[in-house]
Amino acid sequence: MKRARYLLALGCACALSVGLISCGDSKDEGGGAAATTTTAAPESVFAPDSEVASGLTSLKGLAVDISKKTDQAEAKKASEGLETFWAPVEGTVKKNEPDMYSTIEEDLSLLESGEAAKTKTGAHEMGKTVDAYLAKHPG
Amino acid sequence: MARRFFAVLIAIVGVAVLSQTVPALAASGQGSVSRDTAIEQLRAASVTIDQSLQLMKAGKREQAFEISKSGYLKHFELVEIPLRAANAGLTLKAEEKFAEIRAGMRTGAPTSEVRASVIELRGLITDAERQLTAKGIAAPSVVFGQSFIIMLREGLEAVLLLAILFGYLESTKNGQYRKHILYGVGGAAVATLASVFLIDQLFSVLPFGREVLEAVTALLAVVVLFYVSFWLIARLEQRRWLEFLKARIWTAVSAGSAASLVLIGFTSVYREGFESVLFYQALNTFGEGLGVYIAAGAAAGAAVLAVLATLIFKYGRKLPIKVFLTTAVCFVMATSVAFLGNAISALQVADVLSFTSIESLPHLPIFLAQATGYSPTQETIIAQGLLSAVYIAGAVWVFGIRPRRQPAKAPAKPAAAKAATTAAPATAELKSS
Repeated sequence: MKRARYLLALGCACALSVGLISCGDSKDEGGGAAATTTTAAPESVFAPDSEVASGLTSLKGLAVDISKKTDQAEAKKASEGLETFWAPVEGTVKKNEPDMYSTIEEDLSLLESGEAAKTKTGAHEMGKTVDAYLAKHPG
Repeated sequence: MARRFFAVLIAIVGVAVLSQTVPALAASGQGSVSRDTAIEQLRAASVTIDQSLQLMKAGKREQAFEISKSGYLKHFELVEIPLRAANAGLTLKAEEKFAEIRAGMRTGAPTSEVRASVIELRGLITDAERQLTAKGIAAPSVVFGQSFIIMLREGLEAVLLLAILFGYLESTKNGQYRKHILYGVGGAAVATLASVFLIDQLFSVLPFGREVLEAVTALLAVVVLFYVSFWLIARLEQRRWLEFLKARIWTAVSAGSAASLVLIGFTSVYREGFESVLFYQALNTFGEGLGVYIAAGAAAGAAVLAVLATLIFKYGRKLPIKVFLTTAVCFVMATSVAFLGNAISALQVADVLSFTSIESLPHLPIFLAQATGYSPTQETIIAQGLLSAVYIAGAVWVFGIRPRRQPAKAPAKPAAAKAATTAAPATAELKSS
């Protein structure tokens, strides 16, 4: 009877563990509604036109560099720098030209893929969009 | 006794649902508009994504692109600020996925590539909705209840089975073989734990998307839940299983085979253990964000199981186990209906099944929707309705029509039940469950 109790306890412990382990790998406990982080959204940061012009020109240059890379991993690595130029100016671009903002974001995603064909298209399209924006809002 | 038990359970569920609804209604008029609006905008963005995928499939790439762009600029952009405060990483991922889809549409990417991105984005949108939704009380209560019932029911079935096997050994003056069965029980407990990890490993190497795997798990769980809970099948199956185990015990005892007895102990418990692993896998998948309540339900179930197991071994049939098992079966059926709804939804998200939204039906807060498997689409409602109808028809047949058709047989106990009752007091309870 004593052994039965031990094994019963073991059984219960294992059963409990099954439940607990199964529940333990939830990727995210959610409920982020209560989170209090106050990160400033890049879209709500506005910069003067001169800064925007400089940022977009750098962005265009980096896009061209990425498109020249033949190795996908290298291109991906290089694309990590795109956000450095884009984040400070995207709020202003979005406010002034929402369509161009959307297009640049699409081009960024092409560049971030690192695939040769996509990075070439992305760099080419971004060049056109940046030029069009700067023609309307010269720094 | 049973009626009182049901009344208390219904009251608890009612209070839980009300407690979820009332604060939500109150909050909508007290400045929580931004969060509610964000959720509405997320749903609107989701609709545009679905529409754009349909247009892509129809070869209308330009229209698809325009709808996708407008969905992002008009709807998701409004969500970004509250979502970023809750989860900046998720916001960025979703933003990039939106851009990737639009870029794919614009630059002539194959439909299959855009489709894959849309499926990923649907998952991100669901995650975003979870981030913006308060858990409330109803959803945690429902998953706690489901977890509690699964643990208690599966555990109790194993305990009752063991009680019967031990009783059988005692009645045939073979009590010395108990320990061999117990070794098997210990092995089954360890194997059940190992199964948790093995299933995880298996799923991680399968070449399917997350949503498809979720759906497959849930569908498997539905099939097993149906098999173990549906009255028409379950009663026959339990009898066969018991007779099978007893026949094997008799053979093993006659041959003095310790290994066979260990195996009997193992199979009788591992079966319940594996079912539990499968159910918890499904419950955990669709209870994302509510893991702590599922764990609490499992812990509470295990605690009550330990008490009940002790009482069963000490007092046998004096406990109202039949009432519990009958009640538990109803909850298990409800859980299988919820799993089915979730499975259908997951297949819809994975673009394996089409969906037809029912605009007149409301959306539930995401955690409650997941806990109940509710989704306002024709496919999920029909599937859940059909399964519920089968359960109800089965109940009407078993409890209403059949007893009237066989009045003469009712008072007589089946021979197998009599024999089992002699062997162990819990037998009749298990069979009548």
